Amino acid sequence: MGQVVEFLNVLNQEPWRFIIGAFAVLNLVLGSSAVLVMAERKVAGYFQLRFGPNRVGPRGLLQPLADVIKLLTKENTAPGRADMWIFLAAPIAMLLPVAVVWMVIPFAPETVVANINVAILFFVAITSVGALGVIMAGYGSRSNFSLLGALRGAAQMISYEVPLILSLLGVVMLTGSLSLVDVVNAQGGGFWNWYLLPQLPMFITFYIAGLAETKRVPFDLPEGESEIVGGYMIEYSGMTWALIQAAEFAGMALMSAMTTTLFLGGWQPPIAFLDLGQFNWIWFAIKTSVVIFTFQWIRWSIPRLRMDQLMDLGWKVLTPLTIVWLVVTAGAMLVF
Amino acid sequence: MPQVGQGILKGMSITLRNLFKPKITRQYPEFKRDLPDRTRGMLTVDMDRCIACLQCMRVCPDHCISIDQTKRDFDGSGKPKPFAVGFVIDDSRCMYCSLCVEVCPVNCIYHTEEFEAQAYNRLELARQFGERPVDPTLDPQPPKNKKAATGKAARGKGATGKAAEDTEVGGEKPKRAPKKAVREATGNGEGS
Repeated sequence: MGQVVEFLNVLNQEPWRFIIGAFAVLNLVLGSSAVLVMAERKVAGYFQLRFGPNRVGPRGLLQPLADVIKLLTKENTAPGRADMWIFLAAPIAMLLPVAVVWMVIPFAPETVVANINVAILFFVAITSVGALGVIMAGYGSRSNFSLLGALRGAAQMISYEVPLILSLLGVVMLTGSLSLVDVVNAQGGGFWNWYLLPQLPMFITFYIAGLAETKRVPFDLPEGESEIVGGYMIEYSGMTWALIQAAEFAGMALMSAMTTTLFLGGWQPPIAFLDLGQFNWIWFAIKTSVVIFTFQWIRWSIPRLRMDQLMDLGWKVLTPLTIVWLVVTAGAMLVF
Repeated sequence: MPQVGQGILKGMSITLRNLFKPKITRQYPEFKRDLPDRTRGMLTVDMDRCIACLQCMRVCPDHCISIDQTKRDFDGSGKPKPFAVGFVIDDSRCMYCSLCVEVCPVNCIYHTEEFEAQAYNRLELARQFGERPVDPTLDPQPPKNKKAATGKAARGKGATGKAAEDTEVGGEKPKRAPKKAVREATGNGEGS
């Protein structure tokens, strides 16, 4: 027994801790994206009075496994004149930023792979690399539809970066720190301490910008299959396509986790006596799942926006709203 | 301004209510609904009643029926009557028009309620009846030969065409029963 504890203590030392944490986070990203594909299909089915996938395994629960096996055994095809290196690097460039940001998210007290004091800046900087992956996919495919979708995607993602980052500033001002651990600790004590209430406009802005950033409906213009055949991922198949899908779904999970961490108290229980100690990751999981469900709910309820409406919403509504609320927050902090 | 977002909320409430409603999906292989009367399912033929008149084969627009006809002396009267030793219905071609059912004088070809025709090979869909199998790959004549169907030009591959010719003139030359499968440009009515 003592040896086991000693071994665990060794694993808690810095290089091992980081390696194990990175490995676990990567598995979490890939596993969750596989499960989220099935969850998406189930939710879509239930919204449309269907059952969704229910053939593989009990109630269709083995569907992710079947999907993974199918995608792994599928042939990878590429256009003949595609720019091969860019074409193959694009899915990696889309998945990697999403996977890396998970390292700074606190799942429970003391449970964060890297507790860095610029975590929010890290999040903002790394997720904006995703637009590069979209451009690479669209350009490397050498297809007009791909390029059109990629340019639309890049325009949308860069536009919505602005309200996304500005809406984070309120939280940063209230906390006085860029560390996500500090942000979560500052929201302890009960749900009335969460930043959801004092920062409600910022929360709504962050939520909408997060939807746009992860290219979800109603902001899925990069892959508007009715206007441009399949968007920037037209030419992908097999495992490369699976990586793009994994990046999308992991990005959705990441945006939900960030929403939870920044505005919904992270792993903090809603009421103090429900504290579970090290098992507070359950609260984190519940809140993240609820946010993911709202993402899916919106996806199957709301039609797609037009491109000019999208830009109008980003630049003329959300950005001014965040700036105004920044001033309000600053004034309130000055007064109280 | 007061109605901003109301449409979104209305739509989302509808989807949320659907989430808890009972699902209307019917699980197909487990649950099969009753088929209506006069369902046109896959064809079948009662070989005991068939008189090998070839009417169904001629009338079929898709050439999906082919019959191997011979003549047999059933009652010892010395006058052999037509008899179908082989009968194949190619379901990969059938369009369920029911013309063959209507034209059959003895009602021996009819629709069943079976509709699940699936196979890995297209040839598996050609169902054989009778005592001698018929090769379903011997394709009936393309429609462009319809005009010349009375002559040799309408005939297909060697032996088949010859057999068809035998059958056509079988009425006039009863000295020997044709042995081979009958193929002709069906549905034109010129040969009969």
